[in-house]
Amino acid sequence: MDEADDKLLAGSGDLPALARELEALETGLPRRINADPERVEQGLAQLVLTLVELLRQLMERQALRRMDQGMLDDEQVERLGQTFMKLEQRMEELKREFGLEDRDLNLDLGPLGKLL
Amino acid sequence: MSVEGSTIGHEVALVELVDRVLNKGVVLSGDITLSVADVDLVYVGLRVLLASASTLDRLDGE
Amino acid sequence: MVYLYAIVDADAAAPTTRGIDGAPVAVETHEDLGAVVSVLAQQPSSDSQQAVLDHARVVEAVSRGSAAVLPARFGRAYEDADSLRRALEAGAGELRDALERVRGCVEVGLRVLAPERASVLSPVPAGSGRDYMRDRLATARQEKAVADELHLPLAALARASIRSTPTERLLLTAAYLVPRRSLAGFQTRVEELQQSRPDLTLACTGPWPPYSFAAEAARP
Repeated sequence: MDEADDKLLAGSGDLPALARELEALETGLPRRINADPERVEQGLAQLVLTLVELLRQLMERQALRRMDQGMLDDEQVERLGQTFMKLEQRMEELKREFGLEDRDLNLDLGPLGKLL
Repeated sequence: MSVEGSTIGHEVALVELVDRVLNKGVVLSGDITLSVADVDLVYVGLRVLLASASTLDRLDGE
Repeated sequence: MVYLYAIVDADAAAPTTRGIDGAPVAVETHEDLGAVVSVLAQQPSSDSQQAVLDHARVVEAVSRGSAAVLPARFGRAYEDADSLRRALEAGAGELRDALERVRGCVEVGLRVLAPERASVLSPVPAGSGRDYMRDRLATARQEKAVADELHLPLAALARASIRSTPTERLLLTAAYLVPRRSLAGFQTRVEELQQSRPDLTLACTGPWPPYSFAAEAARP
């Protein structure tokens, strides 16, 4: 018995997928940035890609907001769309190259919480 | 995590519980800060920067 | 050091359950406020899942016996009783307001997963930037509409609520401050909404002590 027993009031759909998303977002056991000297590169890639991913999400949200408000012309929308798509692809390539999963790109700063 | 409660619903509830205990809840002044010795100050700075960035993002949308 | 689990009314009964590292739990009073505490020899490490669960257990026990509880965040300790008392004095006004806000209430959490997005084509086709942006905007609007559909009826039933969209994959993350006596009705409404949207993945958890409402007034 622990404090999480009987605490699911309602649940439906792909709960394992939801659990994975929550675990990537908020886990109780802090993960450290990989400081193993053999894998320093991966640790740095993890840091850089996390920041890039965060900025990408923020920028895309900004752009969509502006688009929604009619503040962008067709050419700007086209260019932004191309940029975000290429960025997404490049991120996938880099993640594969460094053996990183989506969940690795949510750096835990220990007591300071998560970045994303 | 206990073996008996290892259904997916229990897993989700456990994550929700731990998130609340670690990230929510009242914080009074004058406490002994948790040991942040092993978290590099660079990350402290990053965290502040990124918190500001997402606040700007939120305010922009209001 | 004095480890803090929660703030309560001064007349709240101390829970009989043990706290972190098996330490006994007491209520230290300061005027009309009570601090639920344990005396510890050393700081709990936030790496210790057990300490986190111990903290949760104490807060849960307190909230069973007391109508107004402000759960404290994990890992806060005070050098000694005087240091804690000073902290209570400094925050007394806000703490009293917060206690009234949550009095008689529990917290219910809701998480809704967004459907998976299709990956972009490789290589990126020329002239498709606008399509991508239009799709993203349409999706964002749809997701906001779905989030509203679920959140607004529940927010109307709650004393307070907090909502956010923390990641691209989480369509809605919300917490609701629900009077205990209304919990059954609230749960029924959640089930109705869940049944009206069988296409969604969602999890509603609780009742929790009001962690999300302890520190600040709710944002819409």
